[in-house]
Amino acid sequence: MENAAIDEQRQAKESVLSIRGLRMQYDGRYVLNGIDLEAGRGQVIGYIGPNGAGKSTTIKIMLGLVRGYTGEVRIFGEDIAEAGPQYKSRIGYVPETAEMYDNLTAREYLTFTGELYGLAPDLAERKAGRLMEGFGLAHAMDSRIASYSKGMKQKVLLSSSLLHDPDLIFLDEPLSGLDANSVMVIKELLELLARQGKTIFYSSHIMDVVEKISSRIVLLSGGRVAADGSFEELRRLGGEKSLEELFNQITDFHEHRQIAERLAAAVGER
Amino acid sequence: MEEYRILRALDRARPLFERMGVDYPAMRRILGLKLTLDGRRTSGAAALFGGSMKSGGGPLKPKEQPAENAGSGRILFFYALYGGLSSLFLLTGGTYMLQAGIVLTVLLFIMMTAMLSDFSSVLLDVRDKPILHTKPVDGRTLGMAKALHVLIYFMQCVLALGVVPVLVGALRYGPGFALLLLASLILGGLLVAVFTAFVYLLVLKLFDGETLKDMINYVQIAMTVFMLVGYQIAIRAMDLSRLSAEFRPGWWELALPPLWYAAGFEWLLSGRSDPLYIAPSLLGLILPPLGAIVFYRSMPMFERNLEKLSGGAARARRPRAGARSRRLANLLCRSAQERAFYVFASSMLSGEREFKLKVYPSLGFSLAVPFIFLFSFAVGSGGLSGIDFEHGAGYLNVYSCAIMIPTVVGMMQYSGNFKGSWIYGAAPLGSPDALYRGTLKALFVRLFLPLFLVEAVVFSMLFGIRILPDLLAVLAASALMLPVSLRMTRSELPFSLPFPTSNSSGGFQTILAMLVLALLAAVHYAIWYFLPAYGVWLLLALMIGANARAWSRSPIGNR
Repeated sequence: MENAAIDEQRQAKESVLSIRGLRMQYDGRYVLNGIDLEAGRGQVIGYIGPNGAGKSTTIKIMLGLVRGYTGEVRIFGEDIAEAGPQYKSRIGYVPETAEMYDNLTAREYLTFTGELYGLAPDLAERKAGRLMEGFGLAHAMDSRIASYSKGMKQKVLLSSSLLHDPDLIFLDEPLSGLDANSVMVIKELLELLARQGKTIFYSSHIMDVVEKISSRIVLLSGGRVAADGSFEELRRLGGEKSLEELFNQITDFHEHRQIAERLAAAVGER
Repeated sequence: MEEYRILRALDRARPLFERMGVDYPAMRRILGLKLTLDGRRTSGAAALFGGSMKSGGGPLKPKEQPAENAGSGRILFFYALYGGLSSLFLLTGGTYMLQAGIVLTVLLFIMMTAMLSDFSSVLLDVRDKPILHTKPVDGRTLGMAKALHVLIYFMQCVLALGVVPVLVGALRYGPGFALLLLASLILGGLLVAVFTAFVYLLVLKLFDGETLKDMINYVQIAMTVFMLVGYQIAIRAMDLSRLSAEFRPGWWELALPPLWYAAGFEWLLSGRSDPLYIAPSLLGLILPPLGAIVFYRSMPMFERNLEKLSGGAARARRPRAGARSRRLANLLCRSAQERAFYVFASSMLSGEREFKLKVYPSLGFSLAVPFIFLFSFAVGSGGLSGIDFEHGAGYLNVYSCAIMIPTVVGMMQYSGNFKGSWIYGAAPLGSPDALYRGTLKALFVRLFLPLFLVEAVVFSMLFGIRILPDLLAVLAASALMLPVSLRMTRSELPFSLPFPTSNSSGGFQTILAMLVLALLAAVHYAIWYFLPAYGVWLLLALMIGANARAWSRSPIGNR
């Protein structure tokens, strides 16, 4: 009994993800300007920031999709610059753009991705079937993904990211195209997965959702971490405001009125 | 957007359009846009000759910026070429019925396949609805723009196909013949267009949009194969026309529309006022406009059914095909990842329309090549009877069917969904070897093997089962071509690049592959010549050994 408790404590402390001094430049311009970040088991991290702040780039670096960064990125304690690709088998990923080989059927695509993550084909297919059924898409299992609506595609991507029971899940705009009911399902699902000890790292522009489901919020601005903490901590920092207002305040954006006025003037031009 | 001459010509008729209640400037804009889009479209003919444009929707990525006007200009050029080839029939002699009949059959057939494949993008443009119907343009203007667009497209096609035959006809038989030929082409073309439209209407009404898209795809493929192989056959068929100078049609032959118009030549130019000739001519005159009117009436129904194309009435695919490729994967691949890629590539190969459009024509071509070679050599040495089927080595022409392998290996790096390739990076893959091997094996089994089996069966029937060991050696040599071609083409990861707008580099590799194949065939011939008893088994063992080596090494070298 006691051993198990100690074990659990140790695991909770184990750093799932640790980034130190991460910098990345494209064409001489720094997109990431020294990011430091730690994440442990069971955390749901809302990763927010304005367009072009480097959210997707950070996620892609952690997945090994983008190289040429400086600094240190450790995942499950391993430096990914030196580790083989094996650490990726514990990661699930939903990319920002819903791009898939969509002339395949959902069954074909999901079985394929499951196999890539080391599942046996039968198991991958069975789990894919259960996930799709859970999302209410059992009837579309054998149709080409190309014929799906945007929300259906998003559900296929979510299924493919969860199929191999990953410990760390990166979700880049996971809710785009989903209806309100599906959003509620996903929110509950993420909470349950976090309670199982999975770490969920997730970026979005919908502040209401981030506010509600994140146990921790990391705000990126100008390639740096501009704020990091629970929603309550951030509120204490910036006054009793909504996350949206905090977002504007921290990213130093106050011209929305002027910009809107300029646009309105352009619309009315004759 | 560039200015089109045809639009400036239309400007003269502006008052006419305005009297009909058409918003002329709006219609002109829409037409101009459509013509610009036409210039950037892919088609069976254009894909074949390299000037392929990305078809269908989707925003243009900077890489895919098309060369201006390369698409439709090229298509028209090749239509004219085919018209020119067919006009050779006008020089052969015989009755009007026969000559005009053959020329019209060929031209209308080409027009038919062209309509079925290319016409689709004009008639079945589903983007019209969200883009144009939401703007304040009235229905009459839109309808007229669509009708004119179809008309312009159709006239271009008719004129390109007809220009040479009409000129040849005028020179040989006088202006009367030429005018009649032109009129026949226009009326016959209209008939074909109306027929095509009704085929679309029927398919859309009975099936869903996916079926129609598949159908169009197969027609495009068939058309390209026809163009590649057709002229070979046409040249050999020339003799036929000399056979029956005194050709008199039976009534059953008049069921074929091209002969309706041919009958008109007999009636008007040879003065044969026989009901046998008059009736079909009148039929050909009346039916096309009548069909056009009926179709115009059913246009609303057509537009309603067009919804199916954009809407995703999802059609289930049989999961059984998957089970079969799974079994083959277990048989052919060693690692689990390789199996995954084999199954994946198999379904990609059968599922992607654009890939099929680019690759299947070369498959059809390589199916025909061994026979073309066999007969060409035979003609050189005194006719078909000159082939020594019992003892000869003519079956070595089978080697030439592997000519498709470098093309296919070069094409496997492309996909319309190339952006989906992020999955290779996100998944825990060590080296891409398994990815390449699985895909190459899928290419071999799905694309090459069926073709080779056909060749093997036919050649065994011609040369006897004595050639079986030789065929095995050829099969092994072809399998060897896959990793070799991969090294030669330096192909990127499978399905990871957008289809190129122009494939300029393929030619060199095909020539190289031909050289390699010729070399292999020469070695095989030498072995057959010097070691007739057991040499072929030696060769087979050698080939299997080479395969084992080539496939076990990293298929991409140390790139």
